[in-house]
Order: sequence, then C-alpha cells, then structure tokens
Amino acid sequence: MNNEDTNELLLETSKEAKNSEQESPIEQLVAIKDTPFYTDALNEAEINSAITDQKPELIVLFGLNDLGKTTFVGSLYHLLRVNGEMADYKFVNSDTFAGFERRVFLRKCSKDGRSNTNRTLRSENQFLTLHMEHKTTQEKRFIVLSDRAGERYRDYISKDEELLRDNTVKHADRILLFVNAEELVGRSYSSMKDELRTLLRRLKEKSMLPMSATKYIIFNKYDKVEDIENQQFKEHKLEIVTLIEEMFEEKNIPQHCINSKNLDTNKDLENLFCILVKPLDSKKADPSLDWVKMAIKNSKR
Amino acid sequence: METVLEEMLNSVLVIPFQKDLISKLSTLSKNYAKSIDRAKVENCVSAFLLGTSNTPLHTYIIKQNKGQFINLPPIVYKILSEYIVYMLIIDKDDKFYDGNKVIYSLIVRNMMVSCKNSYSKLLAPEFLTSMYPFSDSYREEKSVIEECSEKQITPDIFVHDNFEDMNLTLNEDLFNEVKQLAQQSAKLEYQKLISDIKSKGIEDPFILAYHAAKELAVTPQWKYVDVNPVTTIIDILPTNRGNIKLKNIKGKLIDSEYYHHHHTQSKSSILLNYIGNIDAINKIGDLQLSALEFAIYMYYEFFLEELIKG
Repeated sequence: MNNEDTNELLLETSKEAKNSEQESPIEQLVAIKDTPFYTDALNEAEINSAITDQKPELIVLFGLNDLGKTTFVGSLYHLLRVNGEMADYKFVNSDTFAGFERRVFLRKCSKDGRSNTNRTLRSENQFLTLHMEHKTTQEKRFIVLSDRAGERYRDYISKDEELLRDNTVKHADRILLFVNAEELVGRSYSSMKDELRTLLRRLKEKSMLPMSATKYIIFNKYDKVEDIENQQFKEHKLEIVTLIEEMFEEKNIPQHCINSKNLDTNKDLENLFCILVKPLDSKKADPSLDWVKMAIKNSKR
Repeated sequence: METVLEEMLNSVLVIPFQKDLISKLSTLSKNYAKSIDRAKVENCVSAFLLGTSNTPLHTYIIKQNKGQFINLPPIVYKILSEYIVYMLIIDKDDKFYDGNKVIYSLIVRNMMVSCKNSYSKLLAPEFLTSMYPFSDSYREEKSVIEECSEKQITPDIFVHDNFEDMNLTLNEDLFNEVKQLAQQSAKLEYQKLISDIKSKGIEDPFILAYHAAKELAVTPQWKYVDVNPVTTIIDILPTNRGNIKLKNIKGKLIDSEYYHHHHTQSKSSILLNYIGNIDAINKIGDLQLSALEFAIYMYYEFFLEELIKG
C-alpha cells in the first residue's frame, strides 16, 4: 500500500468526507483510525499466516462502491454470532473479530437511510476469516472473505498500476459479483453497465479473472426495486447477466436477488449464506491414491 | 522442480508467495534433502500425510536463515516436507541415491494407510501417486538387496545379461539356459513357500493374511521371483468376507500362535506398530480393512522392514 492510499482514509471525495466527519463523531473516529486493532482484518501479506493445517476457501466479494458488500459481510457475521451456527457448521473462531465487529458496528450507524454501512475504508484491510466446524463430522472449514473497498475496484477501471497490484481476485475459489438491483431501472444504469464491462474486460485482458472459480451474481438491494415485473428492469437484468456470463465464458451462473440489510426472516439471504458456508462440492479424491485397492484391481484383470 | 513447489504451495495458500521466496524455499528444501536420512524422511512423510509437525525441518530452515525467524504458516512446512520427499523420489539428481528411492516410496505408501478414509483432505494429492511406482520398480529392475555369499552366482545372474558382466569365464551360449534354470529354481522355492502357507490350514482370514504377508516378505532368501505379491496374496486368501476394524484384527492376532512381535525400525510401519503397541496412532484402530487389504498393507510393511534391515 502506498502512502497516498494510507493517507486517504475515506472513500468519499475529500469534500464529502469532511461533511461526513462533521456529521458523525463515530465516523470521525473510524476515519482517523490508522492503527489496526488486535484481530483486525488482514492484508495480503498477513492472510497466509492465518492458515493452520488446511486449505482455506477464498470468497471474493466483487463490485464497485456502495453495492452493499460490507453490509453483506456484516450480516453474515451477525447471524453467525447470534445463532452460533449455519448450514450444519458451528462458528468456532475468527482471526478477524475486530474487522467483523467494525463492519457490524458501522452497519448499525444508520443515519440517512441511504446506506447503513459506512463505505469500506480504502486503507482498510480486506481479508476476514471464519473457522467453522461441522456439527456431526467435526470436519473443519476455513473460509476467507475478501471485502475490499469498492473504490479500489473503481481504480482498476482507469489505473493499470492499481489493477496489476491486485493479487486476490484471480485466486478466488468463489466470486460474488455484486450488482445494485435498484440501479437497473435508474438513470445511472448505462454508466453502471459500462463500468462493470470495463472493469471485467480489463481484468480479463490481464488474465486476472478467476475463470475457474464458482460464480454468483448478487442482485443486492432488491427490496428497493419498485416493480420487478417492469419490462425495462427485466431487460436490464438480463443484459447484466449476459455481460457477466460472456466475460466468464460460462452459462447459467447462479443469480441471487437479496437485501443484505434486513435480517428478519430474510430467507433469500440466509439461503445464500448457507450455500457459502457449505464447502464447494469437493473434487472426488483420485481413486489411485488408494494404492492397495488399485493393486487389487489391477491384479484381478 | 521449483514449479512443482510453486504448484504445491498455491494449492494451500490464499495468496501465492513471491517467486523469490519460492526459489529460496526450494533451495533450502533441496539442501535439506541432500543430507537427509530415513528418520528425517519419515518425519517429512508424517508431516504431510498425518499432519505432525516437522521439527528437524523447522529447525534447519531457521538455522539456515542465520537464526532469523521466518514466519511461515504451519501448512507451508507440510508442503515443504512433501516437496522434499517428492524430490528424493522423482528428481534424477545424482545427489539422491537411487537405492533409497524404493525405501522412501514405500514409506509414503505405507503411511497412506492412515489417510484411507480422508484422501480428500490430503495436501497437494496430485503429486502423491507419482511417488508410488518406485516401490514396484524394485522388482522390475531386480536390484540386489541382500548378500547371498554362498550362492553369489544366483542373485547375480538375475541382474546381468551375460557371464562376462559377472566376471565369469563360461560359455556365453549357455547363459540364457542357466538364467532360466535359476529363475525356475527361485520360482519353485517361492511356490513351495506358498504351498507351505496354504497347508497350515489357518481358518481365520486375517490371521492367514498376517501369516502369508510375513512369510512372503521375510522368508525368501532372495526376492528375484518376478511375481506380483498382490496376485500371490489373492491366490492364498479366501474370497472377501467383509471388513473388520483394525482393533479387532489386533485382538485376533495377539491371541494367535502365528503372531510374533516384530521389532520395527520404521515409523511408517503403521499397522505393525499399532499391533505391537509401538508409537501407535490409536485412531487407526477404527480403520476397517478386508483381509486382502490387510495382507497387502502388512506385506509391504514387512517388505520395507526387510529392506531397511538390508
């Protein structure tokens, strides 16, 4: 991280940031934070140190700013803390409690109804970890979430040096591509689509798209869509799906229409969390690893 | 080889290491491998298969780094352990003695019994199967493993193609015939051994499996019969009657007249150590095996112990 980044603590433009600071002492506190807390979110240099004895699964939350990625993470953590489990997996530990708590804390700092979550700080570390354990089999599971500031992804659209510095997206095991459902019928739709196309195209040109990762298209803020039967909404939604599928050269990427803010009987969100907490269909172990069985099989031929 | 390490590491890390760090780790691993002994190889295999910590490697890396602490995640030491064993078995570097490849390969195979129900949890498993075949190449190449002073001509003839190479002045026209005679003789001895095993009339398939495995691996004075031991074991054992837990097999064996405590030398002889209560991995007791599987695992454990004994 360069000095410019380190000093640029808020994602808003400096003018907006100043206004924001004046409005909220809490955000002011957050903004001046430049020393990480114990168990804060981890960066690229630190994340490997969190690995113990099993391969982690990297889930990348991908998208520009103000799409609700941090709210999504905060909601996931909140449910895990409250329920202690999800999809038959117990939540046993995290290396990044402070990182999660900050996100949950900010999530609660609603003041204008526009966004309950302060935007992720540009200098904020991106990695959050979840250590899970299956309730019956005791199988351990280590999930790493990448919740990077959307502004950094925005930088990728125009700045090569920022784009090439990314060492996370291409290594994703799963990638959640966030789209603001509300914008599908808004005036900003065209520019949103252009930005998304440019961002994905630039990553693809540099071979930085995780082509083999499991992909999910997340239409977030779905509750704010006034009429989901609206023809234009449907067409734009399809255009976005087609754009993403073309970029990833993959058909039928699962779509999830969610509201990551509301946690009261929010089945769609909970279902998505359960999908993420469960391991990907693990590749079947190579049968030839069982050399005794193979020797028996070969001798009986 | 460095790309192998890179692939292995990438399969367990969130963010790949920089190339220069991979290169440094590869060099350290190679140097460690050059001065390795069997016990250290066993530590390595145990680290990447059973998840134990590899203290000698850890100490070595810190020492080589002039005492400076290298903050490598524990999983990286396991991958380095796998890489070291992979190099020892696969790399054609002269520094790695060929004769040991068989032993190291058998150590990997034998320790795999502990992973029988958890292959999906293995680290970088795609590199494991390539470490297997060297175990059988021993028989294919008919390498000398023991001295037979009185019958020196017999083991020699299996590994040479003419008398001259054996430093013998004999009619070369007769070489093939003499070699065939030797082969038939060895085969007859082997067949007699099989008949002896069968004639004991052991009814319990697991006791028979143990006895057969031991006799086939230990008794033959030389191991030059080009017979697949698995085929032989299949021929000796009755058809499969189902699997039972190793702890129950152990119970049967120790009450049996055919069981004699075996002083193992290798940590990789997991079943022998468990049955003999040496350094036992207790959870292995719940492992379910068929008599045939048990016999094959036992055979290769005895076989490795024989090789180590030299």
